[in-house]
Amino acid sequence: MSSEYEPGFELEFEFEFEDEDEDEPLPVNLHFRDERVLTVDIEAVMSSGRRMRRNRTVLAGAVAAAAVCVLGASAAYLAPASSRSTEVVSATPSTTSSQSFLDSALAGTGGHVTIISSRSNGKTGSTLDAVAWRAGPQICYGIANVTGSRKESSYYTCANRPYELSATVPTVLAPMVNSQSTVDPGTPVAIGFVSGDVAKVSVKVRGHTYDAAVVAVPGSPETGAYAVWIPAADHVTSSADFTQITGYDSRGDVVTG
Amino acid sequence: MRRALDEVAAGEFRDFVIGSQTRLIKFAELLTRDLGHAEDLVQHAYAKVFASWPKLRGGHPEAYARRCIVNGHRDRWRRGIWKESPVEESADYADRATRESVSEENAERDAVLRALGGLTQRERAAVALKYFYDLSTEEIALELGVAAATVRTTVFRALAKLREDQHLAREGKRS
Repeated sequence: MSSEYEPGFELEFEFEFEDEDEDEPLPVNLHFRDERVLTVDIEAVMSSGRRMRRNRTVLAGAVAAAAVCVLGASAAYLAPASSRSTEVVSATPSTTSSQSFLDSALAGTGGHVTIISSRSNGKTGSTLDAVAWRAGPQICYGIANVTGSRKESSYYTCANRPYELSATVPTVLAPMVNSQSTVDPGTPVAIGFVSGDVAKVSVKVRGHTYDAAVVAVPGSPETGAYAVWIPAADHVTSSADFTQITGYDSRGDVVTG
Repeated sequence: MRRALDEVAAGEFRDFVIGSQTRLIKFAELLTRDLGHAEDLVQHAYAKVFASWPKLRGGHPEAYARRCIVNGHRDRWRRGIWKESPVEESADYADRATRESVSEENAERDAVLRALGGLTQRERAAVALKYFYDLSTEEIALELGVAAATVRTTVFRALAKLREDQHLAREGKRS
């Protein structure tokens, strides 16, 4: 049996030594005479250090924001079904008007749903409405189909009113994409919210620009909503696909972007 | 107010750098055997120290800088950015050491760096911390993130290797 071990494989032993080994002098003098002037560029070091500190702060902010997003998403998912959800509302007689159906089915007694914009689907003969309304501390938004062959149905989401909308300056939030394929496979709608004097929003996606008028959300006068119907060719799946979002006031001046 | 505090911190940091730069560069040179790399490591370590200066100013910033240097050297070595041959003698040092015109001071430095070239990276770090910084075994263990027994083993092996170094033996006889 060979006692050799494979080359490159280092055997690691750890054992205690007598105290005298520790104080054994080194055969070389590490404190050799050295007349060189060894200096570093302090200003460059400090500038680099400041950059590191800034990057750390940005990174910590991004991590915190991501954590808040994850917590928010988890909370929304775990909330009771009545306040969270994407759900199908039961069919109502076809003679019911769009607005009254929406008010009664979505906003409940005494509530009022605003139709942000509508779009006709030639294939199914239905009309899709992008809708929004206020439900207590929450804001709900989604799409509703009240006519045509698919009967009445709606898909909506409710969430706490974003704190950004409390800002005193005009604010435009990126639109959220609702791509409920059961309502309209080809054309997702993106619905966003604004606060302050914002009358029109212009969004840019995949090099195309789309404009949308802002309408007030009932029961929440300081909040407006806008909806953009994005053609399927632009393949929009999330808010991150929007590269530019610009808000205009009633005079047509840019207020945010 | 904040600007004034920043200025005070910057002043303290400058004093710290002025007081420790020669030691740290020499320590890094012992570790890397290359002044250029040593200066890079020290520069980077100081930047890290400055980035954390509010936390380090009342503690041991030099110890933190040493850890940055050791870790920076190890990472560099692991990533293969800077390949070295620890057991082969550097031609540069050999040439310089035998050149007649070389000064006595350079010859001594080159001899030390050449001898350290026969050690592994951890051995070099342990030896430099023990014999250049005069740290205790426990302090070295803390800085290198290993057990005290490992430090003793490492230093023991390094001493054995240095004793067997032929160049050192030759120079010892000559002197």
